[in-house]
Amino acid sequence: MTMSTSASRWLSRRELLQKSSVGFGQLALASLLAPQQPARADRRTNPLASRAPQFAPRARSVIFCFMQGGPSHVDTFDYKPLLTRNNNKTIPLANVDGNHGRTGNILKPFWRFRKYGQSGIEVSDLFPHIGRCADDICFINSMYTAGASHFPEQMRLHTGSERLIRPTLGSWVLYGLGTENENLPGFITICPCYNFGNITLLRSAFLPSAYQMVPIGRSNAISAPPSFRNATFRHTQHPSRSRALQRKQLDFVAALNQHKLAQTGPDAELEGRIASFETAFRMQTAAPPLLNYEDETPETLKLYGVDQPGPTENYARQCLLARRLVERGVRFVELYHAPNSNDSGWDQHNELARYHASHAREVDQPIAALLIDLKRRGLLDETLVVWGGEFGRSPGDEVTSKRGGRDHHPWGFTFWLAGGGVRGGIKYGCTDDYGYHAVENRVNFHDLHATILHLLGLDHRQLTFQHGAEQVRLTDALNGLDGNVLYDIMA
Amino acid sequence: MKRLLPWLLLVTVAANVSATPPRKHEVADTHWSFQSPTATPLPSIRNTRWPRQPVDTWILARLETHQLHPAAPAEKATLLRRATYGLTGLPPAPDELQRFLASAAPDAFDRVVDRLLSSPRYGEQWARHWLDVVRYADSLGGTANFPFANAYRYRDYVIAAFNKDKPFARFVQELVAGDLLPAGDTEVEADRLTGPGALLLGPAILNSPLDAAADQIGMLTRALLGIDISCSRCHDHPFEPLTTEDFYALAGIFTSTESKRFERQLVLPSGETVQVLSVKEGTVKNLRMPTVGGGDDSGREIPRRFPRILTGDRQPPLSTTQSGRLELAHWLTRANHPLTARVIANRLWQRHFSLGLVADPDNFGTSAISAPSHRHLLDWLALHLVERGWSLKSLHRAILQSASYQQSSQALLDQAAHGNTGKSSDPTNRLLWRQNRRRLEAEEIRDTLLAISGQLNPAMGGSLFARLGLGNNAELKKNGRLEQVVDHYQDMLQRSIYQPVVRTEMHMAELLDIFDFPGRDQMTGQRQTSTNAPQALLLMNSPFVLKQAHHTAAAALLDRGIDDTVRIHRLYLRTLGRAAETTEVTTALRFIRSWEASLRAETDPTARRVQAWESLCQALFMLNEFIYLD
Repeated sequence: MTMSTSASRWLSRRELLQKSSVGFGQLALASLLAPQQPARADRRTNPLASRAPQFAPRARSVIFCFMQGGPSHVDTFDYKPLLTRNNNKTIPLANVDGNHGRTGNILKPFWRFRKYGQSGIEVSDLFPHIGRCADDICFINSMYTAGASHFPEQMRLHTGSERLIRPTLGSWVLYGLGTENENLPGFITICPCYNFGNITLLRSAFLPSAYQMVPIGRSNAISAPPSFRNATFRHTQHPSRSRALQRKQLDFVAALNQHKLAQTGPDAELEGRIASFETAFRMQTAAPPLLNYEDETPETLKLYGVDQPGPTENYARQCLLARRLVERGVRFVELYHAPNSNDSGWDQHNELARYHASHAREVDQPIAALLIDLKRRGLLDETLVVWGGEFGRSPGDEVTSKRGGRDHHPWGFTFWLAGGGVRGGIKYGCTDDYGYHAVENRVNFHDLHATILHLLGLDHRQLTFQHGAEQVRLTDALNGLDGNVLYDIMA
Repeated sequence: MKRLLPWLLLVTVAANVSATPPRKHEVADTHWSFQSPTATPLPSIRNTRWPRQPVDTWILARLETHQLHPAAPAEKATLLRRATYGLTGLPPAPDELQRFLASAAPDAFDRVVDRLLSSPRYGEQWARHWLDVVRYADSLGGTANFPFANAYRYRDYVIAAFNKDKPFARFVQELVAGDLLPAGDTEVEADRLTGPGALLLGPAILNSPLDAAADQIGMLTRALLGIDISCSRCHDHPFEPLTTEDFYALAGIFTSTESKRFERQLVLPSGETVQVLSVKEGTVKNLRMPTVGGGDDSGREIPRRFPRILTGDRQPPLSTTQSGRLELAHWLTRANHPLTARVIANRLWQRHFSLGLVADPDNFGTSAISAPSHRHLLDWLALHLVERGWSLKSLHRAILQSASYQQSSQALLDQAAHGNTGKSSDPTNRLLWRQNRRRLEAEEIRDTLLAISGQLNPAMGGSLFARLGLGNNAELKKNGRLEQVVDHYQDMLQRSIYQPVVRTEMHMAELLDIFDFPGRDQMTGQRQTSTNAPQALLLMNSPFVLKQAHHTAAAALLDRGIDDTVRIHRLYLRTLGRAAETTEVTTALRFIRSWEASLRAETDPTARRVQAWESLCQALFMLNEFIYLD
């Protein structure tokens, strides 16, 4: 890690390795004596120690609601009346052959749009609850990306690169800022989907393993037996052993591990594993109350939609959990709405009306509740909520299906941001009249990443890691492109 | 609704933004991996005393070019543990370790390699790797999760094939076209008809024939050729010299084959009559390549053939009365095929060094992120394999008997000793100036715990689904069947390879899942590794781990004629595969005494003692050393 502007706070990887190998394990043990203290220990001895941002941050933590599969922008947050007026006609634009003829004639939006709030921003009837929060949201209607395949674009969205093995956004954030609560992991993913080879989208790659994400639940766990069903940490309680005895055992393990490390030399991966036991030990105390919603009022449970069985129940619990995590100082929470054993996520090549409706029903109320709840607790100012998928969906119908579906669409789509220093009630950038190409203030994933890091007080050009001969950063993987911070959307 | 396929399709890359531009075919015409392997004379080296095998000369030549030295040889115990896990997925038994440590014979390690290669555990370990490569699962996955009730016959066939060192070329022929190979005795019949089973195990097998074919050729081309032709379904491949025509030409071979839920009855050499997943020839027909706006049947007819980049334009036309699988099987296994031998040789190398000579074992195409680290060595391995009758065991020998393989993995100590600069000049160790440390894979962790605790049931083969009476139509989400499977999972004491892989629901196999078992929705030649707190919690508190600690302690305490010092020595040999240092023994004794002292409330001294030893055993399971191989 290098940081030319404030070298004293930031260590080179070599330094980190040398120093941490000597003292990290012991320090982790020592810090247990005061487990409630915020993690302000020296970065030299604890890679997860909280540290000051590079400049005044607007946000302290991030909740990323990842809509896997590519939700339709023209059916949700990008209102294009011409699509309705010209339904079933050819798209009268010159450059619409991107999908090699798979995109057909105009398919009008399946839902009506209404204006919401002071801002009067149009949101479709798919998202009435989120619509009512429009004044707190900045809609970026001018997103675009380079490819139209799920996996490469999910990779690019998460890591900045569609093919290289790079750390995911959450790991970069944790690396940059550390955690504020050593009793919980600093980067938690709720119900991730492992469709593409396990944790590919979410790995810390060459960043030390201390910055890895910790999963809680699985996207497909809806159909699982009850003990697996909820987003929960398992095995947080030894059946009989006291904490004191458990501590004695872990100290013994740590001593033996340190003994071996002293023989074999510094190693970020092994030290990260030692740290994972310390986190695990503290989670035994911290996790059960986190996952016990009894201290929530009935009104709150109702707001999210946790209170009764139904379509919202599962995602509502996840949103509520996300709030409880950021409340406790977890730095980065990624919240999946993804394919599971009951459906294929937002990837509606067919029957979009039916399946987008059911997905929206699952997430609309819970996400709106998250915004409302964060706001009334004074947390929205310091929590950046991000919503979006790897691309949008074609304004024309999908030729090969002819069953009311839309194809992948990377040339123009919508993300939205709320809280964390972002101006609400605005639209940023736009697509053309048919929602096809992003035409004004175009934003790619590097720009999005640069903006998120900036809101957290991190300069995306300075947050680097020395990997072999290379100085790597999150926003340097697109050929010839660099991330642009979207200063215009900041409050 | 298309359930899975859209997720696997590469659709297109926009021309108006800066993606990597598609490579030109002219570049691909000279791409190294599309040309046959060639024999190159061994390079000259300075340190002629180091090499033990031809592979070492290639490794050393590049090290010397970069002013690097190989690391010192690994310690004997480390080497034995590395090789035993590498070939069998299990820890060395204490007596094997002691015998090896005591032997001064110069060929002691070579004999260890021979012993391990002839152990039935070898087939289980290497079948496991192969099952990743062919995305083996025991159920369809997704919304309608039907069991593949007879998939396990394929799994057991693969284990046996590795154990009897079936020539890899024959193995490939049986996979692609076993049903079309000449008939033979019972064993030949059983093998050739079971071999194609892997074609039926994809998550798209019940979709349209074209979807199923796309999955089949996606798996086959990545597994065998290191290129993915299924990406070319909708458009010419964005990164590779593969066209949509190539896709339809190859897919026609598989749509001319019947595979959906097809089973054959056959008699095993044991006399048992069984059902196996298999294929047969279907209606032989070329596909038409859809045109813009047309349906799947519109457009130009594409004659069935193999990818043009590998065969050129002069490929003779395929039979009009057979699907073409037989020709495909023979073409894939030609001695001078540019990819088949290289790809499998690289897979073996990658497993033994945790890093392939081609870094991504599933991508030999022009889009590979980096060039092969030792191209001539890879060719040497490929040619060696073919010369030795495609014997994988002989390739294992060539690798394991090398000085390169037997290096220490420890960078720091070596750096001090030799002034090696590899750590700074080659931090990812592509030049192999040392061995790589690797973390055990999920199944290895579970099997090791069971082996050490003495609970491992060494029985081979069989099916949990069959024991539970779950047939092909027993949709797993219905009637509490998943719960039933989960319950029995916990009690299965066979090696992990025998636990059914329930696609989409792998979270039920908790230990495997949490230690990065791949989803098996698609093939993968290289697993990812994560390190996180839930793994630690599982080792600290899960009933499975506590149970294994209990059994390990009970066995240790059963030995009545020895004192605790000896007991600890034995425990170290058993759990960590090495002798305990004196200080470690002292520390462990102190830990035991202190633990017993903490249990003042417990009046029964035997109970105190048992609990202390359980805690010690569990602590050893938690060590980095336990889960990593040096």
